[in-house]
Amino acid sequence: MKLLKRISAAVVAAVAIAVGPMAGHGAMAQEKPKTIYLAVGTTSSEYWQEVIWGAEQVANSVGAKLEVYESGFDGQKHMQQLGAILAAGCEGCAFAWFPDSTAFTKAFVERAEAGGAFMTTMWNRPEEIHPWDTASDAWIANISFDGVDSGYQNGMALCKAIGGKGGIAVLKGTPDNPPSKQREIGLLKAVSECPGMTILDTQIGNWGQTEGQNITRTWIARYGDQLKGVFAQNDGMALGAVAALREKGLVGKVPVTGSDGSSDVLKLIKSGEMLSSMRISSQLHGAVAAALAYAVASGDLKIGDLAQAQRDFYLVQTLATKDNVDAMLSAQPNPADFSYDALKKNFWARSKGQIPVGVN
Amino acid sequence: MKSAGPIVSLLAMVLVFASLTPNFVSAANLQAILESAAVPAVVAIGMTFVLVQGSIDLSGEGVAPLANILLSILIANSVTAHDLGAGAIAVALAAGLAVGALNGILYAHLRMPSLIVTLAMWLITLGLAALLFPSRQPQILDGGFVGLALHKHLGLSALVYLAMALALVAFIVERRTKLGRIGFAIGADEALVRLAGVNVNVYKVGAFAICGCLTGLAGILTAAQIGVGNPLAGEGLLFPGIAACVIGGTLLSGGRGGVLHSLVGVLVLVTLRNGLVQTGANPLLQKAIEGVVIVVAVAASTWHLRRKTRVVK
Repeated sequence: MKLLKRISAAVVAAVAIAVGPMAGHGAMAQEKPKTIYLAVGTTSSEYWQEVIWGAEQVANSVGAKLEVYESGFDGQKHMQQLGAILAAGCEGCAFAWFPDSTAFTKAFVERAEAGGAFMTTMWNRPEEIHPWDTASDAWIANISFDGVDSGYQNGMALCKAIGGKGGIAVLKGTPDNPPSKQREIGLLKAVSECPGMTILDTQIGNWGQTEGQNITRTWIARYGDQLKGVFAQNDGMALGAVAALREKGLVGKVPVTGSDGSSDVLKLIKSGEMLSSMRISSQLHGAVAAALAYAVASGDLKIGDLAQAQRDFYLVQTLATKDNVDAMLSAQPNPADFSYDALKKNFWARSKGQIPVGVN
Repeated sequence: MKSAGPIVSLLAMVLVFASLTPNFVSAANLQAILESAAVPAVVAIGMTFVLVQGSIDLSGEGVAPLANILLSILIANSVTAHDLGAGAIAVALAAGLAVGALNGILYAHLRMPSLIVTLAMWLITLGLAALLFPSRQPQILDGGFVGLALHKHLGLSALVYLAMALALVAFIVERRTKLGRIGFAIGADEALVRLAGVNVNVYKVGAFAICGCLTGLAGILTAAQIGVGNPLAGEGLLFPGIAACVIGGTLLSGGRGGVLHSLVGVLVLVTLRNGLVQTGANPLLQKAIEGVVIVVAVAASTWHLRRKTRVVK
């Protein structure tokens, strides 16, 4: 046995000496990351499940492992998780990260930079910082969806549905959150183009179904027939509004709009119980965020080569209405479209352009 | 008269809102208030049994989602193939009961602080709920179940009547059974109760089991209201539940208060939120106003106790 061990040790040593220079050469060309780290708000929502699915397709296609970190929208928790990963030594790691609020974005990207890792962020970027001016060696890109467009298109759909005249009520997510702010800017633009439509009241529903339901119930009691429509900044609150309207037999009569395009909302649009929702490509969100992080970490892309429009951009989205909802419901995402090689052909193929100034 | 503080606060609030907007006292709005109070009331009733013993249960925001998700994947729904009907309700309730009893056993028999035991249980149950969540929210297709929240009898849904009936039963348990009365005694002076030869632990476990079961019920009722299963549905249940009890005059140190007090506390909180929307208060200011009202209401309802004990913890 001992002899066998010695022989095998000698063989290993010989091979190492022979292959050594070549292995060293390979290392210089940058090692491919074996793990992609993905931070999500919660695993208990369809949107985030689809983000995870998208990132998973990318990871699977390159033989890497996807590790998912959930925070329950608690930025401190993501902070601790990121700290633990980086503390274990994570130079050149690929992070697709969700900053739970704009307050945490800078801290996350700076930590990634200090740890020598690379990071893409989703949704939350404070107005004053960008990937090219903050932790610019580590922060590859920020990827989001156009909330102004969502607010505007849903607002115009509502205007049309109420015949251009009447009062609507607005369910706002959380104050000082870019998507919430953007959807409000978009709605106000729609109101300015549809002067007969007035905003009766705006309330903060914290993105939640139960809160959306309680507030809408109070609105029905307060405004009665005056309430012609409900503009909810996300699908969760829209579902709550629909539940409250259903209690009073008003569902379908008072149009409700949402944003996200989740499958249960699409079904309500199909049945006429909801008017519209902005369908975002959540699988694409996860896939592009993961693929860009992987591309830089593996050396396929150089951060320095990227233009600003490639580092802070919106992805495509479509307003779901009764006219196109059937196609949306029957569409099944094809894993091949989300593989790294497919996305690598042009990571920005489905970009809707650079995020403008003043919307975050 | 001394314990009338919370009721007076509630009436004062109603008068203020009614004078600001005539819509506030309309039948439709009163219905809206009662509908919104149903689920928090169920939580607060359960919480009261624990609080009067001088303990606390923080696990609600995990237990309610767990019951909610168990129910929605076991009843006829859009994601899984199960259709247990009323059996799904039984499973979800049993889960709440079991978690509550486990809370009580860990706290009473292992002598761990209820604050820590239930905090841990919150995380455990929320984690289980997240684990059970299928990749999309299950829409509940059982018409009878969703009808609990939809069909109105005299303008109110079955949820409101259920909450009222529960309050009545809980009140009887609290006043007429050993479980209720010994609970108060444990809160007032546990050592004395032990000296009297009472097996205190049984009553402690009982109180936590009731609380867990009712919290599970709250998760089930939420599912009936929103028509879908969602682990986030329990968010925001815990703080109003505890705050309602305290506003109503149930002391966190135990021994005082009761189910009816807590119900008044629930009505104070729900009426406040409703009234602020009705009167068009600035939404950004609403949280701050809520905080101020809670401080004022608690100060008003416990003033006489402070002077008597001269101790503030």
